[in-house]
Amino acid sequence: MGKPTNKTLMSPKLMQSLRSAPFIAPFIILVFLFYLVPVLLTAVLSGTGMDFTMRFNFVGLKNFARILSDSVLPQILHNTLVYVFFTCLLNVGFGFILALLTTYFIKNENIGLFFRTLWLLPRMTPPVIYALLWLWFLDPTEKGMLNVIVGAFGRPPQNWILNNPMPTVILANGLIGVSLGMVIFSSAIKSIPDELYKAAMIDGAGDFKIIRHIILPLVKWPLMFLTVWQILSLITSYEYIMLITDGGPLFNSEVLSLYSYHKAFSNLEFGYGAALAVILVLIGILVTTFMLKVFGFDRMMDPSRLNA
Amino acid sequence: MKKALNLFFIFLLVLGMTIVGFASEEYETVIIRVSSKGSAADVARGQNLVRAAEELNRWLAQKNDKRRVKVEHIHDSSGTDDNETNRRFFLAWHSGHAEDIIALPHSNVALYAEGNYALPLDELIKTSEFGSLLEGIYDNLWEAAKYKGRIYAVPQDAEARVLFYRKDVLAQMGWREQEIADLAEKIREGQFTLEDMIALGKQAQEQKLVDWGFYHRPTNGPAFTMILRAFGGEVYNAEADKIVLDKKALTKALAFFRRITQEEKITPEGMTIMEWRNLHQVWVEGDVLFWLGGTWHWGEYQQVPYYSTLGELTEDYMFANMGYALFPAVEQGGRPVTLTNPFVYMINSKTKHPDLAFALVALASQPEYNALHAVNSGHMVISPDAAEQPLYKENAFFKSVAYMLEYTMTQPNTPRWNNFTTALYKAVQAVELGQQTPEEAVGWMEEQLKHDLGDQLLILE
Repeated sequence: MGKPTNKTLMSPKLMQSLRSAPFIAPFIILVFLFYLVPVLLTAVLSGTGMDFTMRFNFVGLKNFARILSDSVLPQILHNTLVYVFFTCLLNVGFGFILALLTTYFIKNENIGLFFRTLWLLPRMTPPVIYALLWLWFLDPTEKGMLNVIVGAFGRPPQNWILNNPMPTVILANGLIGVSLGMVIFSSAIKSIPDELYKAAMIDGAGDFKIIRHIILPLVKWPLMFLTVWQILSLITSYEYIMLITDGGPLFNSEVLSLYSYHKAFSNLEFGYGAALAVILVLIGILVTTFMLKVFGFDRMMDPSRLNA
Repeated sequence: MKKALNLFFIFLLVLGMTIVGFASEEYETVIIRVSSKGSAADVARGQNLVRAAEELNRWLAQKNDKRRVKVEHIHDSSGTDDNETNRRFFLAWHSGHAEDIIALPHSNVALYAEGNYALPLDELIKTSEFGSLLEGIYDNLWEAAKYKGRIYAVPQDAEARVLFYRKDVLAQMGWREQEIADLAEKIREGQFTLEDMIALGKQAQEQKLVDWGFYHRPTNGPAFTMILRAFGGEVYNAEADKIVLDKKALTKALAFFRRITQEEKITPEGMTIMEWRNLHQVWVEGDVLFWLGGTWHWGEYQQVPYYSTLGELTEDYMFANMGYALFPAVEQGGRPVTLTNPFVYMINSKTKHPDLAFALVALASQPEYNALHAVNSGHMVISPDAAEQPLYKENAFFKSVAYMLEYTMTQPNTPRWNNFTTALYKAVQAVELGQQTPEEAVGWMEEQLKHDLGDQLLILE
C-alpha cells in the first residue's frame, strides 16, 4: 500500500472505516431496527398511560412511581432472582457435566454424539409441545405420568405443579437450556490438545485433578460467555413459565418479564407493562456490565495462549 | 382478405362488449367476518349469522341491490379468556384487520364502547329497516348491552348459573325420590341453605359415595362475583360509576372458600388450577355431589363426550341423574341467587358495511334462529317471541329453569371491571390454597385495587 501521499484527502483510518462500512452496515441496521428501536419505543410507551383504548397520553414518571408502590413486586423480584440463579446453575453446571461425560469420559466419538443428540431433542420440540409434555408428566390426577410412577410404590397422587411451582419451571427451563452449554463445552473440551492430558497423567494427575487444573481453566471463556448469555436470556424469558404455570398459583412463579407481559397484555395496561420492561432492560444492562467486569471480558479478546 | 379481417375485429369487439356487459350484471360479494366464542355447543352464535346471510341476500336481490353477503365465521371453543380475545381484537382493530362482528359476554361492552371499538347502534336501530326485528328483546338484556345510556351491542342469549347435584348419589344416601325432586324448590324457598349444601357434600364424601362434595369453576369468571353477591356484597356504585370493595361481605365470601377447601375439605384446594376437561369428566362420571356450573353445560354434556365410557350423554340420562337449582341462600329463609352474563353481538366501528352487519345481527335475532341456538347450547332466549317457539317452549329443561330469571342479576358494565374480577379470583385462589386468611386476602385485594384503580374505587369498611 505504501505511505499515504499528499493526494489522499482522507486519513488511512477513515478510509479503512469507509471500506468496511458495506460489510458492517447490514448488521448495524439490523441491531438498530430490532434491538434499539424496540427499546426506545418501550421507553416512550413507559411514559404513557396507554390502556385498552391504546391512546398515547403522556403521564410522565407516574408509571414508575406506581411500580414503587406495587405490593406484589418484592415477591416477583425474589422469584426472578431464584429463577435466574437456579436455572442458570442448571444450564451451565449440568451442561458442563454432560460435556465432560460425553467427551472426556466417553472417548468413543459415536457414543458421545448419540447422547448429545438425545439431550438436543427438547430443543427440536416446539415450545408449546415441550410445555405440554411437562403438564402431562406432572398431571395432578392418578393418570399423570409421575403419579403413575409414584403410584407403583404405593404413594398417593401428588399435585406436583401446585405444590412446587418454582422447582417445576426451573427444571423445565433448565433441562431445555442445558443442551446449549453441553454443545459449547464439548467443543471447548475437544479443542484441548491431547498432550496436556498425557503430560498430566505422567505427572500422576487423576481425573479430578485434570478437570480442576486443565479443563476448567481452559474452558473459562466459554463458561463466561454462557453464564452471561444465560443470565440475560433468563431475565427476559417467560414462555415456558407462561405455558406451564402462567406465573401461578397466585404469584408464586411469576417473574418480572412475565409480570410485565401480564400487565401489558392481560390487563391491557400497556404503559405500566412498558415501565416494568424498562426496569428489566436496566437490570439487564447492569448485570451484563457487572459480569463482564468480573470475568475480565477484555482478556477474552486476547490471542489464545493455547496455540501461541 | 381485408374484409375478412374487419369482420373478425367486429366479432371480437362484439364478443368483448358482451363479456363486459355480463360482467356488469355480476354481483359484488361483500365478506363479513364474524368471530364467536364459547363451548363447542355454542357454535350457532356465529352460524346463525351465516344462515341469516341467505335471508339477507334474498332481500338484497329483491331490492335490486348488487351486493351479496358472504359470512366467514370463526368459533373459538378453546376456553380462551376474554382478556386474550379482546387484546387480539383491539390490536387487529388498530391495524384495520378486526372482524366485522364479534360475539362476546356483555361484561366487555364497556371496554369496547370506551375504546370506540364498537359501533353505537341507537341510530341504526331507529333508521334501519331491520331495526324492528329487535323490538321484542327483554329490557334487562338491553340494559346489559348499554354503556353510559347508549346501545353498543345486541343481546344474543342469556343463561343462568345453576347448582347441579347428583340425584343418583342422593338416592344412595337414602333420599326418597320425592325428597330429591323437591330439593330445587327447597333451595328456591331458602330452606336448604349453603350450610346444608356443605354438610351434605361432606356426608356424601364420608360415606365414600363421591370423591368431592363441591366443585366450582377453576378459571376466573362471573360465578365468584355471584357468590360475593350471595353474601350480600356490593360490587358497583352506578351513581358514582365506581367499583365497590365491600370488605365485610368479601371477608364472609372468602371465608366460605376457605371453609370448603381447608376445613371441610369438600373441594380440592387446587380447584383453581384444575383442567376444565378433567372437571367435567369427574362431574359427569358422578364423583362429585355438587357442581356450580351453568345452564349451558346442559347442552355441552349432550354434545361433548366427557364421560369416558358413555361419551355424549343423553338428556334422559341427565334428567335421571342430575338435578339443578339456584345457588342456595346463605341463611335460612334467605334469597337464593343466580347470575346471567348474556352474550352480545358487537359491530366493529370500522366496518365498511355497517348496514349489512347490522342487518345480519338483526336477522339472526329472530325467534326461530335464537330458539335453535338456545336449545342446542343450553342458553335462554332473548325475547318472549323466541320463548314461544315450539322447539324452546316444549323443551323440558328450559321449562324447568324459566323461574330462575326472577332471581338473576348481571355484572356491571364498567371498563375496569376486569381488574376487580381478576383480584377477586386471585384472592379466592389464595384462601383456597391456604396461603392467606380471608382477612389477609381482603387486605391484599384492597392494596391491589387501590393500585390499579386509584380513585375509581369505593371502599366499604
